[in-house]
Amino acid sequence: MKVAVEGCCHGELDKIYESISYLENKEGVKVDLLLCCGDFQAVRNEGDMKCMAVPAKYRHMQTFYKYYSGEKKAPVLTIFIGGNHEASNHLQELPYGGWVAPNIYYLGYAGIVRFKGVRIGGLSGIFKSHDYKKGHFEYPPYGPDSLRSVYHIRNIDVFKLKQIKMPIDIFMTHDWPRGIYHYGNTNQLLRQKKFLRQEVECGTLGSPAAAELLDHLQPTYWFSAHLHVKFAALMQHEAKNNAAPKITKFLSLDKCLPHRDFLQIVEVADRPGSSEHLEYDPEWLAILKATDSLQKPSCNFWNPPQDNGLYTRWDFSASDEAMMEVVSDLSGDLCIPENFSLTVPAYDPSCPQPNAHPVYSTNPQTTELCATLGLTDIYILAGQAYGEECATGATGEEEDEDSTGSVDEPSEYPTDTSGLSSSYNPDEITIEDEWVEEEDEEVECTEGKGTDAVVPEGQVGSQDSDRDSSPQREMANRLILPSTCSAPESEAPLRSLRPLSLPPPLASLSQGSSEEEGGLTPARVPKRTSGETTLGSASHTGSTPQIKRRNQSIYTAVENEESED
Amino acid sequence: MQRPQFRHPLQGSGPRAAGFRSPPPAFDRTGGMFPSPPWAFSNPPPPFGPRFGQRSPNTPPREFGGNRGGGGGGGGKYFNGRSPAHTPRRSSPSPRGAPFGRSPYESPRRHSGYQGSPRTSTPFGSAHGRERGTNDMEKYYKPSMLQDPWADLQPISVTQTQSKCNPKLTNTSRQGRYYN
Repeated sequence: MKVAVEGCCHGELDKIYESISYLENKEGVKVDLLLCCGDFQAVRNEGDMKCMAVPAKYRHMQTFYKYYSGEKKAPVLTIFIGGNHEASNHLQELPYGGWVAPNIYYLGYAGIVRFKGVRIGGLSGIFKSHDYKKGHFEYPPYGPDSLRSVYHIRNIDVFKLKQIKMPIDIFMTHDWPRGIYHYGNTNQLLRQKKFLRQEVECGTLGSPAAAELLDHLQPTYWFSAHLHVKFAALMQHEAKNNAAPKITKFLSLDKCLPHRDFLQIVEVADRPGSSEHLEYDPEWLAILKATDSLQKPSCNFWNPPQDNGLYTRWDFSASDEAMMEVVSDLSGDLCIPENFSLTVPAYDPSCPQPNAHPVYSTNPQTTELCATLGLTDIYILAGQAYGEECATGATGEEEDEDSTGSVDEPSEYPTDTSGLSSSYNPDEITIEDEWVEEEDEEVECTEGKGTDAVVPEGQVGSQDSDRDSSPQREMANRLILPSTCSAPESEAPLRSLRPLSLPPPLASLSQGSSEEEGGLTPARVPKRTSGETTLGSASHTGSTPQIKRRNQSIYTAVENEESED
Repeated sequence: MQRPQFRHPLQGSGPRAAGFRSPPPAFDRTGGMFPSPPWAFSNPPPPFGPRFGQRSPNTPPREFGGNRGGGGGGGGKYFNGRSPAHTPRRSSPSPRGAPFGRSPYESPRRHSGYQGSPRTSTPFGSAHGRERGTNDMEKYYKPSMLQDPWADLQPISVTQTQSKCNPKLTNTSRQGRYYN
């Protein structure tokens, strides 16, 4: 089947569908499925628009509302993940995924579905180390901090995905797996996006969580966006269990603008006899059921269970019985019900509501799925806990981090970065005017850096306690990948992941590169990479980075100091 | 496109179950036995080219738009062409940021009732307007959209990137594990 892959959508549904239609007519092909890799902006009305982390001048309704209201219908089944520019209140209604409009399906915080027998998965959001270990505590109306943290990837979702055992055909993340740039034409990438050079050479560009998933899932295809550049890579994984090494075809695409590489048609073989409709994935739903009790809608850090004697269970992979139970729950029908319904009023251009407030509402699709499978609606849980735990905990830390970014990085948005905050938001991507290529490259400079922060060891919780990450900022320069916490965890996948964040061999990097395993002495990372890396690191001495055991820094309760041998 | 020197990673790799969960007993909606259960496949489909391998079980025809359990009442109607809440207008792209109505760029001499964007259509007949709209979409189209983006790439193995790394950047005691 022909799968159209689109990079960042930015609400340009009309253009995207028209482009597909034009391409179909011109080339005589028929597209069966559209995958969109984030920044979808499923903005239903003015209230949703206020839940989108974009500067005021870029806060436009765009075209999604037409598909929501029924004025238009998506001409091709569309599946998308969230990015860092989303109507977050809308997407939070569908934590396990669901229809945002007829024929347009959101995968949720993380999700796997099947279409024509092809397993398609995705992880929404972008990686930010300081929010990674928190629960999904956010709840509208959002403050300046939660407006951004809401789309930051959480370790609970990565943990769930790491329970997957059966092969995945296609996987999507908005930001890139860290290190993937070494598996394609890196030089060409850096010619197109010069401002990425430093991060690429330091190995800090991209999401370590996505890199971990890439190593674990080893899907046939991996699609991303976020950096507004087309980049292809072919990554050959290390062989597992005497099987031949798998290869992942990685592709990142641009945003939908004229003359840009925002769309790609990929031929993916479907499986004969499989359903023509979008289906649930039994293995994934079994994992959701098994991990349901682990979810905490709290801004306190969560440490995934692991085989260290402290947990009674750390393996939440789906047994055959669990999968059959899921199929039984669904009455033998894996087809995702086409049960979309409007939950909030759609934008009406003839009757605009500029003062509309963001609506918090539960979504009957989530209610139905939770009832069917016995899952918790974590959006409701977050609403119940809202204001109790997070009123003071996260705020100080977030402001600190944002203010650092404004000092060290020129903002993409010269002044007003958000209608809700005066602090710089390193997650922002410039949605510049059309035709302005040079401006695009220039202003995206800091964005590309800001989003791909070095994972500070301290922030990702080397200890078991819930703690504010701000005291740990001195350790912010360590480049650490999130640990693989689900047992059984062998060393082999850890090793195979290691090079993903290793910088290329450049002697000049002695000051800038830190081993991704996390030095005990953090290496100095150039300031422009992230706001997180700038505050007074006590170790800005350029001393030789020492290597910590990889994957321990985030999940383990006690740091493992034996890694050097 | 298949590169001759490129061996599909799972060709000849033996049973699919290697490294993955073996297929569970078939869960069968129609009562018979199937070669593989709904969630497991014996061979992966190759990225390009014809399919081969075991077939997944035939699924019975699905009722389109069926609901299971009562949630989301009324949802089905949105798949049957709900009448639009707005006056139908030509699907011509409007300038970004323009109000969704008359284009602000329209001059008073335009024909009244004309709703198209001046970029993509003119008041001088729908055919002309359609042509202008097509020209606009030409700007979004690139032939490379249908070309294999990996055609010029060779798979790079994880071990290859390991060897590229500067040993100075790694702890010497760690070196033994990776660089032997």
